[in-house]
Amino acid sequence: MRVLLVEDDPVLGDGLQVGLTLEGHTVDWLRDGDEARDAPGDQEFGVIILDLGLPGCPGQVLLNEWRRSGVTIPILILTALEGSEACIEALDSGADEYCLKPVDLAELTARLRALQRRAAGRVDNHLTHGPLSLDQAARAAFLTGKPLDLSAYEFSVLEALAERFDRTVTRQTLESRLYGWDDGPESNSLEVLVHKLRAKLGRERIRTVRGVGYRLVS
Amino acid sequence: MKFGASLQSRLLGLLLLLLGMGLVAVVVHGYGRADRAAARDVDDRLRMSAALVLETIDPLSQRDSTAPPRSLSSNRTTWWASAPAFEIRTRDGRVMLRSTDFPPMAESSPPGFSTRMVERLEWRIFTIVDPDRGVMSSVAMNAVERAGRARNRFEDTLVPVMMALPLLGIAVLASVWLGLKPLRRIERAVRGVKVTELRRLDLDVRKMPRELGRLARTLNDLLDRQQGLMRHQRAFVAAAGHELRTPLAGCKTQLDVIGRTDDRTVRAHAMTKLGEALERMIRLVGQLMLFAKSEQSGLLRDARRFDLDSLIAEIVADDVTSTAAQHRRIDYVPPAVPVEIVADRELVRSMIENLLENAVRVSAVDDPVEVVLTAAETHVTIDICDRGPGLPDDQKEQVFDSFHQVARRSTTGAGLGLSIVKAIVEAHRGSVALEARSSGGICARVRLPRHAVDAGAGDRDHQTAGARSARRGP
Repeated sequence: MRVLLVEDDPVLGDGLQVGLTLEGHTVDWLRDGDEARDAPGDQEFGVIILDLGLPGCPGQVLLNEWRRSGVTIPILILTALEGSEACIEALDSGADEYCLKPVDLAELTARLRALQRRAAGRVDNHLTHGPLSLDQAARAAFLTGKPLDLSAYEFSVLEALAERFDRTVTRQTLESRLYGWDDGPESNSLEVLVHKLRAKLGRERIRTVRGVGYRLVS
Repeated sequence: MKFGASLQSRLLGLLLLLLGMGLVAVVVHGYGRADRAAARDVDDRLRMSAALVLETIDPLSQRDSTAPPRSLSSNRTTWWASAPAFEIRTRDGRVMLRSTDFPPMAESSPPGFSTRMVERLEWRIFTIVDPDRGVMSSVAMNAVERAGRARNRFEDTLVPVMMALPLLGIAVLASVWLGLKPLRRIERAVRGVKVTELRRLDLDVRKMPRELGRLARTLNDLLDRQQGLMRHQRAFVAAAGHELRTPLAGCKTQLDVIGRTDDRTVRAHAMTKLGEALERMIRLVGQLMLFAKSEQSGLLRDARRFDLDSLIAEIVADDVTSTAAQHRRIDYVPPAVPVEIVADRELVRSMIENLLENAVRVSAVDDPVEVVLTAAETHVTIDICDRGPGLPDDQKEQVFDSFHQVARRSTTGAGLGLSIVKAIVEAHRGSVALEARSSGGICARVRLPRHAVDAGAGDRDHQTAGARSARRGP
């Protein structure tokens, strides 16, 4: 998933960025409310992790603005503020999840998965299409029961394609999912990944849609 | 039970003592008066009686003056134990008539009042002379009678007093008890105050006597202030806990990261970050301790003479404020002449670091923070200026209130810093204020007296002061 992290604390933000990346997500980290304002419109984020106590524009204000301007990306509030009031206000103004700091990284990623599932209208972490099945929690893929040996990036691409099974996923979407602002993809890295996936899954499984992107078929 | 151990017994004892003394005075005085009054009564009686006697012997004066004297028994009157004894003599002293109880005396008594001892009894005699008839009459009363009269009068005044005594005693007891009743009420009310929920005393202050009303009001004020303080402290503890959450979260997350990877570079990076977060927390806890201490008096413990400009230069060089990788520009031009003050060096350091941290926090990377030190005869001024967004006017005061700051959720970490600055400034009897700059941003202006305190510690450097004063500029 492509994650937008808005958190001003240097150590926590760094920890979250590194930790979530280890979990296979791509994280863009902003430290300031004003900087973050226009970020969601820019890219296809799977989820936004938002701290309430931000310099510049406060988190609650950002939340309100985003929801008012039609940003539908799932938002998880991560904050040190205890107490129902802040929680209720945030949830009622459109946040989907509310977590208190300090939070366990494993717990955080589980919540992110839950948000991801809900956004896709699914109820569990398994994506199954025919002989192909993906376990999103374990980040493992199986073909007819046998585990596939995939790199993190390969899994991400496969996951993105499997989430929109039998529908085209654009190049841009795939690249945006894989690479944050700070990493620019090399021009053909996506092709290389798809090529490797085809080798492991079977050529026919991934169809190229010329000039647009790719599609996972049965 | 020790006498005087209780207000009640003291008051009672005092009142009863006064009562007793009064009683003794009344008795003594009364007795004396009674005696004198009785003597006066006797004299009056004698005087009246003497005149009366003369009137009555008039028809008797015709008799033969050589006949032996006749005795008359006198009538008893109810008012006096007996009628006065009387005697009538001729001008030349020959007794004409004498009552049975008149003391036999050889010579006649002088006119007017006189006192004679006859047969070991004292007699008071009054004699008048009738020159026309050539007779003199004497009337006499003895001391026993006078004493009896005195005793009567004395008893007349004393008996009611004695009867009133137990009543008075009860009245004293009751009034002392009643008088102290409001005190007991206050005591009950104070006893009912629970330490965990301090509230005003459960009394109607208006119904109390003035002095105790004042006491109750003072107690209520104290309880109010204490309650406010406790509420403040609870809020502070909650806020402090909250402040620590973010660096703690950072530590936890970095540890999670370390646990998830074997990559040495990633681990090394995570451990560095962990270290940074711990430093933050150590510093924050230090701030909290300082702030907690500053709530008490006696913050200023270790005042000594030191060079303020070199302290500032040191802080600026250390660049402690840059916990992030970015170093901020802090412009400080030291004054030409060393600036010495007497103050607590570590506290002043904390104060300057806090102000610098705030200035750096609100400044963009390229905007420098400016520090200016000016020295005058009696005080020094430190200006720390930033080019940040500034502060709305209504917040310029509130920003020093720690609880206000931490309650506002929008800024992180700035919470305690300014309150600590304020506490340190006040302990040195200086002043601090935030002023807007025309070019945008804020200047924090701190004024410190050059001799913050004339503590004993300051005198330690007194000898060196002489040597150094030569270096000091005007």
